[in-house]
Amino acid sequence: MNTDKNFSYICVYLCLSAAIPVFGQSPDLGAPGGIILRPGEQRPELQQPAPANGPAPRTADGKPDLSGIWAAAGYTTDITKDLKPGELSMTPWAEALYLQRRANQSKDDPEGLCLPEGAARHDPYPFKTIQTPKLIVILYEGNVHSYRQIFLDRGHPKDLDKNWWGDSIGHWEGNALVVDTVGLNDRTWLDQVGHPHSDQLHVTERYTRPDAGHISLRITIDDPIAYTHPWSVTEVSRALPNWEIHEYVCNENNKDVQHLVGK
Amino acid sequence: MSTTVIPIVALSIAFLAPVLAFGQSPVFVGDLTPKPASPVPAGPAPRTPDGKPDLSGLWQRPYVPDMTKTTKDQQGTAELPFTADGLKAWKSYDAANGDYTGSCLPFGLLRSMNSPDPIQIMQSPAYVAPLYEQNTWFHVIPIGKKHREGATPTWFGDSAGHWEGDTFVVDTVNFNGRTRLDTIGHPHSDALRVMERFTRTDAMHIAYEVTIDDPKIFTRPWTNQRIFTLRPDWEIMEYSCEENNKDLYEGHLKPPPR
Repeated sequence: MNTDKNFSYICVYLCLSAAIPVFGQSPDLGAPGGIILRPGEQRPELQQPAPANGPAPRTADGKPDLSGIWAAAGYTTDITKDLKPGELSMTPWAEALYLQRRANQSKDDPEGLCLPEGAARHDPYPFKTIQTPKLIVILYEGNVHSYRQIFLDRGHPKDLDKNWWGDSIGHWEGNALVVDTVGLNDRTWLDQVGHPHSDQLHVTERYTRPDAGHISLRITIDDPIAYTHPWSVTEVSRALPNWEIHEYVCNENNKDVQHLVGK
Repeated sequence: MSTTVIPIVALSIAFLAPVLAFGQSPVFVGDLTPKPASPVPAGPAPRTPDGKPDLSGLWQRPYVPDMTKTTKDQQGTAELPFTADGLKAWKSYDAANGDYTGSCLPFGLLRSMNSPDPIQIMQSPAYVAPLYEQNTWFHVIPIGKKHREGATPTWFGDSAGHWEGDTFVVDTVNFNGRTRLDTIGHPHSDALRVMERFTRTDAMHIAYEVTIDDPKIFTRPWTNQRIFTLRPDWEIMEYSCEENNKDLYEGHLKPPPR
């Protein structure tokens, strides 16, 4: 495992995350969501041999086992890029905010300040899922190197404080883990280009493991303040059976904050 | 979910260094959630399907801002066996000159284990992963693997876990040397080696022992022993150190020089 190589990608992401949309380049080198890399470079974990395939394993209680380390497959730059015409309909409030963020070159992207990315945004780093009957945890290598908890043994509390990750509860629908998240603040962005959301955002994630080597995630964004109707995107990640989550410290030597000047 | 996270965040960001400089003890509050009360488990330690003691659960731990002190559920080492360099590193530390945690840099393994907030332990046959409420950080301890060779030194170090009977033993090396052992600022170097022993003595408790071995700073290894208590009705809350940490964003506060 080459940790140094991994760290170089951190720099690439931090350094280029604001700049790339400005110059209108397309950093997406993979499908469907894409991963930010220098031209010609491939992320080290993707140089691993293809995972063994076959049917998805199951846990002792008979559920599909979603545990594992998964390559990032998120829509890092633009979560809406594969939507068909008409699927995305911003409210006037959201469109104005989006255009302001574009005009400002994503200067105020909270990710640049090492703030959490929230429940719906994805970055180019692997994630690790840990599954138990009552609690499922997702460890993010990026996303400020934090974790999310998905509770399977309770509903949403009534007096939720709005926060970065929101409150996530899950249940099984056949072979799919359905995760329902509310209680989010309005301070995160859905992607680098700045698709907005309000604190009324309701995220539904549907995780399935179609085979041993892949995890599929369908995210539905339902936010009546920002979008006139809900919309969904699907991301499929490959398993990384011989990989480990590496330490990622967004704040370490993050000198760029004061250089992100926008227009 | 209660609102206690906000005062905790504010306290730790704004007052951590000055408060400790004045020797006061900040009050940290555990998070009580509206989850219905679970029956308090009793009896022997539960076991996982593969027969190992099950360390899983949410654990309240003693807050250990000073590893030389002995307090409730914590047995410290009163006199640390400093080397000459170690004593110099300890005497020259002054939180008033800046501490890396004010910039939301990682507490590191030791200071995360010493933090006042609870931890959630996740366990599988292949690894144990403590989730710290402190800054929503986590650490993954692979079981039965060797330390990585040639890896970049890190804030939390490289851990290798194994079972010795019913005790889970964690051997951690390859630290970057930029953290402190505890809030009061006891030093360590990049030669630090940490041995931790987790023993679930019964359903409600883990006996925890940590041994500090750092030949650059200490003439011999020394230990702390603690008791962790299961809190079946608590949940780990979200903790964002970066939230509204304007001193960092606006450049008023810089991490101490390396």
